[in-house]
Amino acid sequence: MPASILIADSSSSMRALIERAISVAGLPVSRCLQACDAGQALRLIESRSIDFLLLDTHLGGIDQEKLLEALDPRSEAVAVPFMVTSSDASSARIQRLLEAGARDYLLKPFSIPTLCARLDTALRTVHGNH
Amino acid sequence: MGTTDMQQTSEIEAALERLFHHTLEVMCFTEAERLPSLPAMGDAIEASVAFGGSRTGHLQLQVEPVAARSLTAAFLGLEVGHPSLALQTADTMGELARILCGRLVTSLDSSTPVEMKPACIGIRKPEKIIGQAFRAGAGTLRITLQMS
Repeated sequence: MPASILIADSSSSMRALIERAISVAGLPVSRCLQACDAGQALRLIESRSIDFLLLDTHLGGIDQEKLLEALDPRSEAVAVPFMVTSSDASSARIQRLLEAGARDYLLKPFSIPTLCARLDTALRTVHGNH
Repeated sequence: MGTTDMQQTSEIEAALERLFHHTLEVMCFTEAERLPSLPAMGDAIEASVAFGGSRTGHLQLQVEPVAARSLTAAFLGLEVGHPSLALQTADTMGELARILCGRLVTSLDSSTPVEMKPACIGIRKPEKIIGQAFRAGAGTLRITLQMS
């Protein structure tokens, strides 16, 4: 079943690039929503039916930690499956996000074929678990 | 500057240059040519990122408008004359600066996460200032890295 995706990234051009790549690659996505900061992402997750979140780690906004807490499958909050994109290659950040439930961690800069392949795999894993 | 300091500066210089080439190739399908000296910049789109973590500092990317338009078009997969480019150019240069900054800082210490925020003004004297210039997308790009 096609997924509803939220692209959360502070860069409007990165959000546009990812949305276009998803469309051109024909990934199983029914609609793309966008958020430019953590607060907006959190509100969209809480108020709409989001199946999957593509999250940049340097998303601005005061609610960033709150957002990560909400995404943690161990918490009792929304627990939306998510994948991370980031230019932060530190082992501490990667470990923190994977422990928080990230399905994948894709380093920026990334090529479009790599993004699409990794996102497709993550979406199929999520779909397979439902 | 001592030998260790010079060695460290040269490692940072090499990492910055390698990451700049890699970022432009992957995100903008563009090859950049390193210039032997830092040119004076006229009108330029300027993106700056302040960073913290194991290192603190400030990375500034200055790009001539013609190069910024060309790189943004390549980044978004649009024609150079596309009307939406005017709105996306500054944001795209900011994203390139953030990618470069994040990868550079975590390549120097891969154990500590990097924090990035809009540039702020401070009085701390940076220990290192590195400048590099490139020719890409029919224009000039200049990077300045201040780090302590």
